[in-house]
Amino acid sequence: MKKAIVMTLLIFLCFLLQTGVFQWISFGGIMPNLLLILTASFGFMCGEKTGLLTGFACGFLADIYSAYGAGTGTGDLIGFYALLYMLIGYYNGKFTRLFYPEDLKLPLALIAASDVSLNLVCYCVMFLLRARLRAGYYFLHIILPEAVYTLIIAFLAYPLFLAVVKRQNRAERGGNETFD
Amino acid sequence: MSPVIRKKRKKFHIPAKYLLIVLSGLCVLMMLFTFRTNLFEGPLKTAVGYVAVPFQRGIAQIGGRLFQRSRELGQLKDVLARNQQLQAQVDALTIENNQLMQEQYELNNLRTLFELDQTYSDYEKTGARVIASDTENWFYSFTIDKGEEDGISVDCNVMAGSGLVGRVVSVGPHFSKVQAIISDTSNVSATVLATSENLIVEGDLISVTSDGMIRFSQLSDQENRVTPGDKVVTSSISDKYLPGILIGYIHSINTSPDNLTKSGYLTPAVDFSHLEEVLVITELKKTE
Repeated sequence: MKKAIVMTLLIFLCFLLQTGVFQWISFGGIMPNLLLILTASFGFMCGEKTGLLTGFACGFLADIYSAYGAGTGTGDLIGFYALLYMLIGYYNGKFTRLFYPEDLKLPLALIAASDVSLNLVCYCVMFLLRARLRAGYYFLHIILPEAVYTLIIAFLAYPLFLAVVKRQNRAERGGNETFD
Repeated sequence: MSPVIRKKRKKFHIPAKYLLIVLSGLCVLMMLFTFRTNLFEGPLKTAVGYVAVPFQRGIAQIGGRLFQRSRELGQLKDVLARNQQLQAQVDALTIENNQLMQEQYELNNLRTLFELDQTYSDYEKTGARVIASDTENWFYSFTIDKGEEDGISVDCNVMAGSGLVGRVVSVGPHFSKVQAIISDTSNVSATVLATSENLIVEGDLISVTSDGMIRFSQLSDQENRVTPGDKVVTSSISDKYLPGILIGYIHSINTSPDNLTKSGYLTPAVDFSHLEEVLVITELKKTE
């Protein structure tokens, strides 16, 4: 129960940072993706289930605030990012067994891979299907800069998330509870 | 950790795989539902309005102030030097302004005479603050802190300074989401002011990210009368945008591969990189 409250607050906080603060630190119009860092890191730190639930929540919030689908029908398209983020959380959860808190390489590699794959899918669905064919440009100017910037932010954010998880584990005493 | 002491909890556990399938199904269903209907709009908007918007409003205020402060500090030296220059310019302009004022009087008189009272300075407007941005980098949209209860509705035109920013695509009680004209899915019907030729201004992520331009197409200009620098305003045949709002200036013109129309790029009148305050025109275009 306590874990759920902490997670909700954390997701909400990251969402506020993402929509409110990151536009001020955007670099050449590119914002890092904190919601993705959160989803991916809770995926590989706490397992598939936590990952996919976190992803679902983050994606749902991203859906509400994105303009995709705004021109198509009467309202917004909800569920697209929720599905993507959820899959990312789930598949990051597959790496729980390989994950060691001391090792920084795997988390960062996973976050980078998640970001690139999220944006590749976004490109394919939202741009390629509308005949925007210059994939190389989009990769070099949107996907890659975002992945790099996200990695830089992950350097700062991931240790914080790790500290939260460690604290929770200690509080629960059992320790194996979070790694279900 | 001893298994004897530890009470065996009879908690119901759903395996992650099933949870994934169920939630994926839910997402797909939501997508199908929200693609054509706005079933969730109401409750969702209310929830967001009460939970997230107050925080975002606060953050936007603080962020705006900090950004302003850092910009102020960085530009202080610059500003001091320019102040002197500008002071001289002010004197010159005051004289010019006086002359223009006289002409303005004359113009106003003539306008009332001809009942041509239709420039966009007359539209009912309300100021709003940008409080949140899109979470992704693919489209340009943002959230403002005024909504339905401030008289805003879907398709209201949004301006910043004297240029067109975009239009409202969804409204909540005290916030609304704006899609910018530089967004990749945005299309605006526009007119070249000098020659009254119509064209379509298409938001395009590539030209926006590479050099801050907006693409236009479908310009039929057989006599090559349109030149770079011409003003482009919203056209009177647009069904969402009010006529005569400045979009930008033509930057370059090319002939389309079909040899019938022309396309090219225009420089937007609005600086989209740091929008803080916008004006929302509460009047809607009447198409009936």
